[in-house]
Amino acid sequence: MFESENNEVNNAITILQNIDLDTIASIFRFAVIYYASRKVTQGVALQIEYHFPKCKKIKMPPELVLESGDFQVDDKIKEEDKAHILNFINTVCSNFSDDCLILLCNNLKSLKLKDTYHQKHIFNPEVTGTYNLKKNAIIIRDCSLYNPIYHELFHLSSSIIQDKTTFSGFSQDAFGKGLNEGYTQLLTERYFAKESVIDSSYPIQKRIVQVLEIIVGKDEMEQLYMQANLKGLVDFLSKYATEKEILSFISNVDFTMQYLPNHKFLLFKKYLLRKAFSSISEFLIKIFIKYFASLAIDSNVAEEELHYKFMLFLSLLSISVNISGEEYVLLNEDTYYNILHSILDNNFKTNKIK
Amino acid sequence: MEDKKYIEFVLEDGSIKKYEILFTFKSKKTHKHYVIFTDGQMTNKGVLNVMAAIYKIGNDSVLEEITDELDKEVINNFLEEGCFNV
Repeated sequence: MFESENNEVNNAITILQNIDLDTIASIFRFAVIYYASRKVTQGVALQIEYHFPKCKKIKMPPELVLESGDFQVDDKIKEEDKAHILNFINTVCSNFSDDCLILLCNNLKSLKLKDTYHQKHIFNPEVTGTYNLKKNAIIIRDCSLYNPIYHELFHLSSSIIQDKTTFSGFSQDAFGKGLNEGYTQLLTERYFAKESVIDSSYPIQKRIVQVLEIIVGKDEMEQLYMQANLKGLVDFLSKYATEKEILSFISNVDFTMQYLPNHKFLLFKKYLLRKAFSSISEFLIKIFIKYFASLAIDSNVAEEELHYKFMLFLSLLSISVNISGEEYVLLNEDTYYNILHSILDNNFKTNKIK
Repeated sequence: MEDKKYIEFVLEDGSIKKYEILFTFKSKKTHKHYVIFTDGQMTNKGVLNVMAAIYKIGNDSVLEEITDELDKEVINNFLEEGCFNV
């Protein structure tokens, strides 16, 4: 490089270093708020009424109706299993609000529990338990390492059949199973780590829902799960992405769950799996950056909270899984630095991020 | 994806009127459960008619009309903020 060009570059760097980015950010702050508020007011206007028609009877949807006021467990269930169920009820009751307990209460009284395992899972040691909503039965394999009953009880607490559609946590029939299993495992480890021993179930799916939980909020995410409200989750995320993108993301998470345990998949499937991981991380980065931008302009959000969420996000995605000698990652080094650049160098630069 | 949930009112003449549930939530301020629902009717000016009520979780979930100003404020905040922080 010639000396004159070198000087120009040095001058440019000096100018860039002297730019007061905080001032620029504060100028654009009003433009961002104006633009965001215009977006909101473009929705449908609502007229609220507080009176409803005179009627003989009101029929509410089943997930809002508590069929029995008490938690009842079938007498046929073994005492040892009853103790686990009681422990589950006590823990869930002290950590969740009452509107999250309706499905648990309704499903519990007709629960059947079997510890003999179905023939079709006999050659798959990774499957230690299942919950069959149609029969309302938990089937568990006798396992010395940890007890899968808590994971299955979370499925029981968040499942309902309506108009032949199975709503379970974050899934509707087969759609959303990846998110659902990931979040069920996350809750099991959060509330029953001592009893269940942290195992390696659904590691990728668990990380993905943890990222979503940063954005949605712990209490809100738990409520949506316990009320089997996948639509509510999609509605929440639609602040940051289109519905099509969200559904495609959910479908990709399902794909990873379907193929990850299969150690013998073909080369083409490996390629598809890598594509799925790439799309998932792209989606999570996109919505996180939008979410983060909204936090950065919010004067009520403290600097510490921003830093914590940002670091948590990066650490959650920095996971790799080794399957049959193949390494799968959600966030590779290049993507990691791209995120840092887009957050630190773009329009979210406020005095909170240094 | 299935997304519509309904409240059914059995009217005094025996007919059934269905309302689509838009939101259910519990307020952190009042600790009450609220439901916001609509018959999907729009006024001439393009305004969507919605109704809000308190619901109580029990053997027979009962809807209660909102008369208290604090409850109305909670509903308005929910619809304006579009978030759970009410």
